[in-house]
Amino acid sequence: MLIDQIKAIYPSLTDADFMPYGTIHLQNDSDGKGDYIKSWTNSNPQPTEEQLQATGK
Amino acid sequence: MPLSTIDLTGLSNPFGAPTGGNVMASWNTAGRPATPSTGQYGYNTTYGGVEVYNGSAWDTITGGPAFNGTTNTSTSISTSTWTKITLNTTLFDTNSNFSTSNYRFTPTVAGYYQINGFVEFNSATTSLNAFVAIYKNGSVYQYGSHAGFNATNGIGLTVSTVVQCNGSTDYIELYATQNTGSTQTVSSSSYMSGSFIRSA
Repeated sequence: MLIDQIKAIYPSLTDADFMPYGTIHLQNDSDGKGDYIKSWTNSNPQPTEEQLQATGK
Repeated sequence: MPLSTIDLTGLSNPFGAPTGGNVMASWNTAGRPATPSTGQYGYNTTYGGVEVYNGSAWDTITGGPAFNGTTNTSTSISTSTWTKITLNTTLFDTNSNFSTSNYRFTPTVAGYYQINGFVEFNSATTSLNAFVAIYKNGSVYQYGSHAGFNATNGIGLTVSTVVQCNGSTDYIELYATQNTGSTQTVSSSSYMSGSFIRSA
């Protein structure tokens, strides 16, 4: 899952960092394209697709 | 010189038929009167309703869209991921404004709409925080209820709000999320319904 990839890059992140109360908004539009980062205002930089894939999750 | 005048513009039979009512003027959206008078009204064949000119725009009086989108499948929701509910069928859709392929309501009449949503999470084996929201144009418009529970019987969440739509490009969708740490499913009893309530 996308959230597992993100947490692998930033292990200090918790569920509280994700929407609706947090600063990271993950979304799935049920269009077959899967989960994606809708918005990112976290103090950590938004990971790139390459970084996400490199986690192996 | 007449004492008064009566404007019969647009009236096909101003004095009424012997049996039956008057027939008001009609047009489609593209063929609306070019220079309407304030208070001028007629039947719009594009959406099948009566509208009146308010001096700057056409106000819909009758015939505004109403719909009820439902589903016959479940929707899988990854943890902490807002996911669109796959409303792939309708109970009714008066103006053909609801898409059962991309699960959205795109009204063709500008105005304010009462929108209601319901999602039911299936039972989960871990504690569950679940949320529901109405989306407008792909982003959160307003959140609905949320609940935290250790579920063996599932849980239902509701959202109800009023949304202004421009009658052309604005669209409304139903999303939900949860944070169990694993993927959960929303049942086929979920729905989103809505109805035109007044012109913009």
